[in-house]
Amino acid sequence: MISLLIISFGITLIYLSIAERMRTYNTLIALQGLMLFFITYVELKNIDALHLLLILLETLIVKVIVLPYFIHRLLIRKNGDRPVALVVPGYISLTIVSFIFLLSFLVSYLLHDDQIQVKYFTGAIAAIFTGLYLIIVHKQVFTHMMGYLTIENGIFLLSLAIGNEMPLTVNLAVLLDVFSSVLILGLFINRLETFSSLDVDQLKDLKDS
Amino acid sequence: MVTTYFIAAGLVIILILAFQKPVISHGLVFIFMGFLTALCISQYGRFQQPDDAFLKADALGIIFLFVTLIISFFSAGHYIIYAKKRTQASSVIAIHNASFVVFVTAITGVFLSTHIGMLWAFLEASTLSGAALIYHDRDKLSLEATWKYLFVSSIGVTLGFAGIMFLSIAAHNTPNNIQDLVNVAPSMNIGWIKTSFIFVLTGFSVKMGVVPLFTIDIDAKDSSPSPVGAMFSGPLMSVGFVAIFRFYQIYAHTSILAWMNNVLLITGVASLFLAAVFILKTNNFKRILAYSSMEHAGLILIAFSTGVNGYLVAILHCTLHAFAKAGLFFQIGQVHRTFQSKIEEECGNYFKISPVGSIVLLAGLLAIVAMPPSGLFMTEFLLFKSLMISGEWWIVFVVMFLLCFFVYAIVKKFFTMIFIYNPNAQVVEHVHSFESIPPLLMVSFVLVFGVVNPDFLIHLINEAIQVLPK
Repeated sequence: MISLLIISFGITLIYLSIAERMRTYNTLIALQGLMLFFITYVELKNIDALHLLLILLETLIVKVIVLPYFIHRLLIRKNGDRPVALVVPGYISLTIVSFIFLLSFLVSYLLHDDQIQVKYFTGAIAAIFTGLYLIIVHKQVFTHMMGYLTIENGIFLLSLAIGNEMPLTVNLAVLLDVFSSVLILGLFINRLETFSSLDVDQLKDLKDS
Repeated sequence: MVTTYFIAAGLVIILILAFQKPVISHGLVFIFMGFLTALCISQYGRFQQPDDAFLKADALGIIFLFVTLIISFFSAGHYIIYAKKRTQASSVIAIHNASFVVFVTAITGVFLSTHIGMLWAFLEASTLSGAALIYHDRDKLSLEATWKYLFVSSIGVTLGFAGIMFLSIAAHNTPNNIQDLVNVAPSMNIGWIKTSFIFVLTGFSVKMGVVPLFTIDIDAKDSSPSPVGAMFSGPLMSVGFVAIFRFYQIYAHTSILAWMNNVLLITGVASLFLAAVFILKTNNFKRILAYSSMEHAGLILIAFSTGVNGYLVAILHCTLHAFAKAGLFFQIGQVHRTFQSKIEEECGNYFKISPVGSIVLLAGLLAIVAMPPSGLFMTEFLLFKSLMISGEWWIVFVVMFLLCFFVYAIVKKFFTMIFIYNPNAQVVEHVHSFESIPPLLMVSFVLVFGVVNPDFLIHLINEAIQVLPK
């Protein structure tokens, strides 16, 4: 079950690398949230009920419902489901993300440690580096946000990789979720509309001379 | 007292947002300052007593709690004038003051944390509240700076979190209490803790303003109000330093100590080099001060990398720099008001317009370029001495060479503004000399420190470095 969920999580990462429309990105991020919800349930079902309920509710509400809903409402519905400018052709991104997966497998097996669960660790490392890759190769604020949320999902998975004996780490990851929600949903997503195409090239006024 | 302080902070925030009237709002900030003073005194009284609490300051925390108290007190005072002169809306003032209280509370939380997880949570809170402070002016530049700050800072703090998780793996899920982690440090896996330290240094570089994530720190100091710039250059930089110190404190008890020192040395020299390149290029006085902060942050890391000889120097340098730079940011805010510009080409002849303000700037320059009697001269002298003791002669030459660029850029640009007549400089407002007293006090402290060393501070720093291996 866990393997299936983590493989599905990995597929969303590969799909993210070649996605072209804003709606697709948003759906994929919501799907990642849903998979994390199930993974959390399977992994942490033996901890105390209240604790588990809080973590599951946070995962479901923040990752699957609130964030995707507001991103859809504030960005996609207002600006239309525009295609995202791909700086690197899709097939190259696909190759690079596949390579990231390969490296993640290698790193996980090389760092094999009793403290970590290799499956989770591979997925987490792949998500963190795919998120960083999305931020580096895209020029739009929207895709930067998607990259950040992918990193954040990777961090959440990483906390599960070591967190079954240490719910505090998972709690902190949950806190990170809440903070990232504030980051995305705070006033800035509204205000950033002033940059009509949400292109980072327009964020160049602050410079040395 | 800690619980009372956090409850009081929460109440003050609620009251500020509920009663948005500026007088009440500013008054509540000063009431909060009263609680912060009480916290500092109570923590000072019991910092040597053993305690398992999650929030209890050690000697290092005490030093930076007092630094935060003094700078935030003056910052709150300067903001009253800033808001009045700009005729800010009540809601903007209320949001600023509430964010300021959250920001200071988060910073003090970092200094009080004895638990790595708590420390991280307070760091994240300081990012969010700091973003609200940067966004104060509600213009395109502040929006750009805020977005960049939030985004890069969040990535930085997320990477820091990954570092904490690698530490958890290395520590075999030992509770993340710093003292517990120090106890199990010798048995930690070297690969994991090296990875952890790299992630932590990268992530928290955003707070300290060093390589690699330094750029947003510069933008934030430039586009935020000057009282906020002072907070970013003083207390927030100290937050970054303390966060890195806590991990160093744990890993120093393992075999990676020498490796960590090399990493810190490379980071420090790289920061110094990049700051030297950019400071020559910029013509914006706030950015000059921001790059100068990056220079000093680099020096602090270099001092720290020299090991036992440099620990005291690093902490003292961080403390003195906080006061000198905060004072200069307050004063440059007045220059900005005088000329309605912070660009070199639009300012000039400041000495004739404001002799007192110019004296503050000159004294501040003396302090930050580390000329005698500045306390920073003493720390830089000790830094070179500890580098020589460590046998790092080539670093001494590289650092001295790079420092020449800072002295040249800072002195040339500030002296031009202070003494040279500029037909393009339009005097829009005459700022009262009274406003230069707080920055003068702060800068004077740094200058006097070069001559008279307060025993209590040296004692506290010596206490703080007891946690590091000899």
